[in-house]
Amino acid sequence: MARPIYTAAQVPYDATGLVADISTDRQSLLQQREELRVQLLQLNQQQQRLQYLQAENTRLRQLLNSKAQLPSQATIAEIIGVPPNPLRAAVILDKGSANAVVPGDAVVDEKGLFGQVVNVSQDTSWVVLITDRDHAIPARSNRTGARMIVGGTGAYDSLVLEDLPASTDLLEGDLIDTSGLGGRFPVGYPIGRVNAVESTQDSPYLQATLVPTAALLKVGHVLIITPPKIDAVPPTEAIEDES
Amino acid sequence: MLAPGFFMTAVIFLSLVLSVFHLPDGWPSWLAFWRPQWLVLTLILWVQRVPQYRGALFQLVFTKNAADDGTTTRRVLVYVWLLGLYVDTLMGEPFGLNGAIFATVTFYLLRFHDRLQLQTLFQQMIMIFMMIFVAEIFRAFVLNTVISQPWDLQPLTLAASSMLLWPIFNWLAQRFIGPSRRN
Repeated sequence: MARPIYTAAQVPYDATGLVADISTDRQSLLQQREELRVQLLQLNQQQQRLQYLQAENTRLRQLLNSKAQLPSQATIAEIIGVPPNPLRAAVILDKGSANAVVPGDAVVDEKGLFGQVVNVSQDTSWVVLITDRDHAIPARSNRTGARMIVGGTGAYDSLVLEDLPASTDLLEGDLIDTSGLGGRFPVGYPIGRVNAVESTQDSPYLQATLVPTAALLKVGHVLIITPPKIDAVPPTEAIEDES
Repeated sequence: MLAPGFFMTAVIFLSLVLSVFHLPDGWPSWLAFWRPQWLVLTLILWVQRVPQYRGALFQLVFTKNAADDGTTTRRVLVYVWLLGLYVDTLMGEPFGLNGAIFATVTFYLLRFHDRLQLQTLFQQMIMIFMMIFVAEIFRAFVLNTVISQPWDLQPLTLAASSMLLWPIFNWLAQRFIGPSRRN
């Protein structure tokens, strides 16, 4: 229902984009195409490597008798609006329950974690960004594997590490990614890089801030990650219930 | 002069769009705290003229030419509340919040319509400032209670920017749909 108004509010931006598209000259398009081709080649090469690693990972997990990680499904969506409240960090996407989006789905862009779906209507969904001051993500340090909680600050370019013991091994430039704990965000998506670590004598906690890797201010496309369906009741119990 | 119904529909649509319009990337973010309350200003324009014609969608919905005996007030309040419910879905705010604000503002305006006409533009601006200030404090209180949004200076800044916009709004309305008349 809110869609027509948000679409209308987006018109000036679409129009400027169109003008920019029309006025791009042939030379720069060709150059762009060449760059994209090189990028595609590199990504394809990495993809081959990834498939091999994934297969190996599954085999090793089987050997260890632990559960295999199920692949999650991704839906591509476009940002069609930004709610006007300056105190909340949120965007509106053009996919809703018609595309099987449910509240709690994680949203990522090409560089890292973007946010999570909080509200879904027929053909739109509201996404709260990771920088919203009420948002928090279970995370881990990519370098050491230490568990931590990444909280939003309300500013678009800053996240904080909450209640981190002063003894934690944390350096500037460390990549922090999702830990998958809590089951809401899939494991392994980059959240941000540590840009300041400070420990004071009188505080048992480390003061550390991150810069999010995702481009949170841009308008464009993002991916909605739907976690793989896991039955709440293990099969054996379900059978017992029936009998 | 345009048909008032057409003009009013366009103004309502435009103010809905302007209420959700987001600023371009490079612009300073503090500007978002000064977004005028377009919808309340539009409401004031509209309510000022309710006695003479019954608004754009209002004419569509209630074509009966009701002699004004309080039924109009009630109908206007219901209509404004419905608009408020739509705005709630637009803004993602607690359901009914904008309806309550719009209906209260509208009731006040209908009640003191005559008095408002006698005031100078400057006095009208002060009145609009007070009205939006109180409404925004109520909104901030509800948002603080329901989704624990922190208090800030938005009631003040929003009221100030809306007040400063009123002369232009008023001039446009007078230009396109004629002066507001006494009841």
